[in-house]
Amino acid sequence: MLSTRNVHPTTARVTATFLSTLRSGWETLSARSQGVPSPNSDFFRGNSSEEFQALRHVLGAVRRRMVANTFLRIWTGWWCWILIGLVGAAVFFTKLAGLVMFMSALLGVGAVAIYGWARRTWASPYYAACRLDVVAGLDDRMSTALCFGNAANPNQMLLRQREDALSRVPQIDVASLFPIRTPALAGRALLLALLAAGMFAYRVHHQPPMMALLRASARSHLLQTALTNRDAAEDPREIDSTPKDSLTKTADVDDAAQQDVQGGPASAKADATPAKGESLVESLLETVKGMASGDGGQDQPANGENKQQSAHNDSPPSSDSAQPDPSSGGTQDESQNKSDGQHASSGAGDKLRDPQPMAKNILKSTDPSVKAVPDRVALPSANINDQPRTRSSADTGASQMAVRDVSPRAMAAINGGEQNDIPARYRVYLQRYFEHDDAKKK
Amino acid sequence: MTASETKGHTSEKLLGEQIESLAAKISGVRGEISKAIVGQTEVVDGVLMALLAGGHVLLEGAPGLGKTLLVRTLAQAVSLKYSRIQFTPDLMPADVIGTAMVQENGDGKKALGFQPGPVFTNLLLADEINRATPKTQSALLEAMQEKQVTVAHTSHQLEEPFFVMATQNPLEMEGTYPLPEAQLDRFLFKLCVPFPRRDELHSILDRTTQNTSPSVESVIDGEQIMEMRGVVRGVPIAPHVQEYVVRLVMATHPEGPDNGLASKYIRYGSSPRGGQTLVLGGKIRALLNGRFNVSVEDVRALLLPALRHRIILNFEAQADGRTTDDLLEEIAGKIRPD
Repeated sequence: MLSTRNVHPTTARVTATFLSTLRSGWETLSARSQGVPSPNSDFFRGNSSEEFQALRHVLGAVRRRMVANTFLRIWTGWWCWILIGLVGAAVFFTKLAGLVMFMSALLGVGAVAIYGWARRTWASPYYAACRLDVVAGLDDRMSTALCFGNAANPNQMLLRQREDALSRVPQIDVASLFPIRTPALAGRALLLALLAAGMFAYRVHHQPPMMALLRASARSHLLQTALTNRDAAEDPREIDSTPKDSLTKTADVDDAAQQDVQGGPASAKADATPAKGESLVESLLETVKGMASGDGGQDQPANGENKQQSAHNDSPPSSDSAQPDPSSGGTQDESQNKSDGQHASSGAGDKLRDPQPMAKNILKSTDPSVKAVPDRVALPSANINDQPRTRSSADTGASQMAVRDVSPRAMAAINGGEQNDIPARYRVYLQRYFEHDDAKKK
Repeated sequence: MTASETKGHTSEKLLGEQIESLAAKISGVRGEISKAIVGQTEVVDGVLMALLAGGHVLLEGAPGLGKTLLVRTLAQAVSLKYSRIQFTPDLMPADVIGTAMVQENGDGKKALGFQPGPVFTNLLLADEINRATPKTQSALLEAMQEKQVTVAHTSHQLEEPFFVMATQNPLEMEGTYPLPEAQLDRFLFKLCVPFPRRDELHSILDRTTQNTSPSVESVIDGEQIMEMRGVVRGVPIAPHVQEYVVRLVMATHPEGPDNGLASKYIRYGSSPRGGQTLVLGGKIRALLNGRFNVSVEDVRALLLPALRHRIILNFEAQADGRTTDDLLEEIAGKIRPD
């Protein structure tokens, strides 16, 4: 305790010196930032004479009103943004308690920061005097008098200027020159406050409006008609199967889940219901995006395509697979619904736009119109020495002489007549070649 | 009380009296000039400001607008010596500043002596200065800036106050020699003499077509003008007003960082003399308006006469038909005093 008493005055002195230095440095910095010489910032601290007291009071009132106006103007804008954020959150999000607390904290922090900034902006009485000169039409009398108020030996001109300026101080009506103005954004802020209040009152008994809107649009006749027409255009065989059934059935499931939420006894079932609704919404959004972009899932990978084909070929229609399994969990439902949505949007279109697998299936399933050609052709002789050899560089239309072991031909081949003498293996090769080319073209 | 303190008190008292009487005397000079000159208030004020600031004035206007009459009337009102030089293409420098001539002294001996030219006066009217050759024009450079002339290695001081009022005709540009930039910069103001209004023209016709001629009386003399020159320099200027002057001058330079307009249309910006003119002219204007401090309005009002002849436009400005007055107004509109 004794040591505390001994140290305390020293600490207080050091603290006071530190704070004084900090304050003077801050004022110097703020004055420099405003283009005002730093000595003017400590004008009202000790050196001013009594004749400046009236000007001091006037400038104090001017500063307070300017700070108030600046604070009100900026803080109203900040409040507008906070209210916009609150309304947006109420539209989209389910839980709002944390958000409201966060926004309130932002509002408070913003108020403190704006007030500090406004005080710093209007910190200099010299700047306040400049504003007073402009507003009151004083032709820089007050600012000049304030600036040269601390002159050590003022000459006659400075004294006359000071006298001229201070003689006008009593005529200054600060309240009329610097009224506390209603901010320009006050009307908008009021409207936004009313909107936010109405939104929160609505949210007391209802879900977020955007979710309800998406659900309503999922059940809308227009969307279902659009989806049905698209599928009809792409695959006439699946008009009455995939999207409509899946949509209606999923919507039915969603309705049932909603009924469970409102009056159902099982809480676990009620918790699972919004997940189903959201998965429906996601699938709907993806479907609408696919419709808007027009690509219809053309970029599906080959494996997925094969899976889809196998699913279509091996299993009953996709409407059956789109039905949610009540025994499975929400995650499985989501993945299933997503895959179903992809099937509904892109299944038929993929089959039509990728012709090669379809052609292969047709070739496999139907009898070929030409006879199958054996892969290997039996040579006339197994011994290579017994094979007839011809000159490879014979001119067109010229008769070819056998090199050995071949008897000369009876007649010369002219104008395509040589085709009669084409060896069997070449003939088969050509036949296979053209058959293969036809199959490609098909 | 020491002698220096007594002298200081006396000078302070004298300064106070001068401040009191300055506005009245300037107002008297205005009244005397208005006896002969109808209207042209801005031109008269500009001429008086230049006279009190110790600068020179370039008057630009069509013939017959009273430029010469203004100078003559001013000379009568301030009781100063007045001379006029009509500048022509064959005018030589010796015709302006004087020359060394062989003169016969009292005992009959002949010696080379200096014969002063018409520049040795208080008020010099250089009429149609742009009709003389640059060689003759430049003969005035030393006289205007240094208040002296040098002939045959001998400098001759001019009598104070020395005030040059030059006129030029903007219409007949053929056969003229535009003033070089160095000489233009030595003029404190460039004043454009406007055509009189309808009512002013009626007054001019009444005054100049009757038998009565106005008699102008002397209000102040040269000595009092020199005292006033000392007084006006004591008018305080607030830092933010001076900062405004600096920003205005800097904004006319194409090299500036944010001077898009100047970099597009201006080849050379204002010299520091432009800033000096704005401050000094602002002080005199404040006193003429009954104030004891320079305001932003004073600077703004003197922007065109102080800077319009110190800015050189580039080819693009001439091609676009831009004038220095337009550009200065636009530059000043972009600069806020706060």
